[in-house]
Amino acid sequence: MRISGLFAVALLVGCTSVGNTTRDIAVQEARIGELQSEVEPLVAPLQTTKADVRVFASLEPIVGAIALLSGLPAAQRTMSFQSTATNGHFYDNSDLCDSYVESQGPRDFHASGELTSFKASTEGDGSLLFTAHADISGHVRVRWHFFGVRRFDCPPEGAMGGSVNAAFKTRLDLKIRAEFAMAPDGQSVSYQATISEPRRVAVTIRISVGPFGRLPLPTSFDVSGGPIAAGQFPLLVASGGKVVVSGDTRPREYGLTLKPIAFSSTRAGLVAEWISEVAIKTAPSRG
Amino acid sequence: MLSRTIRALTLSGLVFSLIGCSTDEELAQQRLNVLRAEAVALEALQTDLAARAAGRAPALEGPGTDSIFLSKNLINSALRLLNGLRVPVPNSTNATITINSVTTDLKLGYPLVIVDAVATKYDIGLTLQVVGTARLETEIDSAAPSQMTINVRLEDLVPRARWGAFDFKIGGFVKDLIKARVSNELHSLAVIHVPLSTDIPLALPAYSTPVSVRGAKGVVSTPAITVLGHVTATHVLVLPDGLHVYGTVTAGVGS
Repeated sequence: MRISGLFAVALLVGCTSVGNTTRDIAVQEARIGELQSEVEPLVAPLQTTKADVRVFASLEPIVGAIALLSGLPAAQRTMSFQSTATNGHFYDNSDLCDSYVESQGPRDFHASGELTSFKASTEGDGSLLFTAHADISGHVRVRWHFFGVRRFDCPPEGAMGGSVNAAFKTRLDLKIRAEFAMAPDGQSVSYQATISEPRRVAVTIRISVGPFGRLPLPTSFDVSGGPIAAGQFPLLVASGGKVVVSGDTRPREYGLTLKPIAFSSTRAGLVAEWISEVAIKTAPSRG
Repeated sequence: MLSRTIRALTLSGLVFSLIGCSTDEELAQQRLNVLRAEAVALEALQTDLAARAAGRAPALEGPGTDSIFLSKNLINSALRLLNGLRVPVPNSTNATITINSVTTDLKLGYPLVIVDAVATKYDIGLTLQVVGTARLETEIDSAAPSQMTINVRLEDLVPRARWGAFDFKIGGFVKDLIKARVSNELHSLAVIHVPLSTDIPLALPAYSTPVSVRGAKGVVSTPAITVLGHVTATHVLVLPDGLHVYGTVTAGVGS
C-alpha cells in the first residue's frame, strides 16, 4: 500500500501540478494591472468607439508646400488675358459727335503677370485658401476717331484720328478656395476649387489722343464664382485586398463594404469614418 | 485480515481514481505565456507613449501626421474566413484540427488572438477541444503600391483533456497536438493584405475662361497648379479597440 501510494503521488506530480504556474500567473496579472492603470489614460484619446475604419490626414504639409510654387519657372505660374475679337468701342461720346476709340485688331489687347507670393492656409470650415499676387502688365493697340464737338450740329465733314499703343499696369490678388467633402461613392474625398477673389477685375487704360491729351478708358470684367477645378482621391484605405489562408493554393480576394458615418474637414485635417464589413469574393482553393 | 484487505482495496481504488493526467498545466502555462507577452508589450507601449508625451519622439497625431484605424470588429469579420478550416495534425496519422473560430482579444499593446478548435483522431474515435493562442503580426511595406500585412501567427495549441495514466493513445495524441503549433502549416494561419492609398493629389488644371469687356472679347488663362500630398504609414499601435496605424504626410508641388 505504501508503494502504491507513492506511485500515485509520483504520477499526480508529473501530470497535474500547476502550483508554481498559478503563482506566476498571479504575479503577472498584478504587474499588468499596474501597467494598465498607467497606460490607459495615455491611450484614451486615441481610441475610437463607433467606426470600423477611420482615417485622418493632416493638411499642414500641403499648406506648407504651396509656398514652393513661387520657385517654379515663371512660365509655369503666369496668368494672362488675350483678346480674341472686338466688342464694340472702348469709348463712345455722343457729345463729340459720336467720336470713338476701338481696338485696331481682334488680338490687340493682351496682358499677363507672374503669380508670386503663393501662400495657403486652412480655414475654420476646413477649406484650403490659396493666395497669390500678380503684377499685371498689359498692352492695347487702338484707333481713335474724333469728329468734332457737337454744338447744334456736327461738322458736315472732316475728322481726325490715329493709332495709339498704350501700356498699362495693375495689381491683382488672387484667392482660390478648395473645399473637401465625402465623394458620392462614399469611399473617396472630393474637392472643388473656386476663385473667391477677385470677383471683378477693373483697369483704366490711358491713351494719348493727339492734341486732346490723355483719355481714360475704364474697362472691367466680372470673375465667375463657379468651380474652376474638381477632383477626388481615395483617402488611405483601399476598398479591398487579398488574404492568404493556410493550406490555400492561391490568395482569396476580399472587399470592404464601406458605409460612411462621418466626414469632417477642419483646420487640423481631413477625417473620414466608416462602418465596414469584409466580404470574401473568391472561393477557397485547397492544396 | 478482511478489513485490512478491504481498506487496501478502497485505498487502491481511491489512488487509481486520482491517478490521471490532464493538460491543466499546459493550459496554465499557455495563460502564463500570454500574460508575460502582454506585460512585455505593455511596458514597451508605456515607454513609447512616455517618450512621445515628453517630446523625445514625434507625436502620433497632429500637424503633419496621418492615421488609419482598423477596428477589432473589422479584423474579426476577416478572421471569420478561418471558421471551419480543417488542417491535418502534423506527425499524427488520421488526425485533423478543425477551427471553430478565430477571434481577436486585443490587449493594450498586445495583439492577442484566441483560437477555438477541435482535434479529431479518427482511428481511435477521439475528439478533443483545443485552445489556441495567436498574435497579429503587422508589417508595413512602403514600396509602391503600399500595403499593410496582418499575419495571424499561432503561438500555442493546447487540448483541453483529462485521461487515465495508462491511456497512452490519448496521451500520445495530446503530445502530438502540443507539438503541432511548430509546423509550417499551422504557424501562419492567415495573412491579410491591406492595400493603402498613399497620394493626396490636388490638381488645378490650366484654366481658361472667356471674358467680355467693353471694346474686346478675350480669354483669361491661369496656369496649372498641382500639389501632391504623400502619405506614409510607419507605426502600428495595438489598442483594445483595434489596430491604429500612424505615419506622416509630406507634400510637393508641380505644375
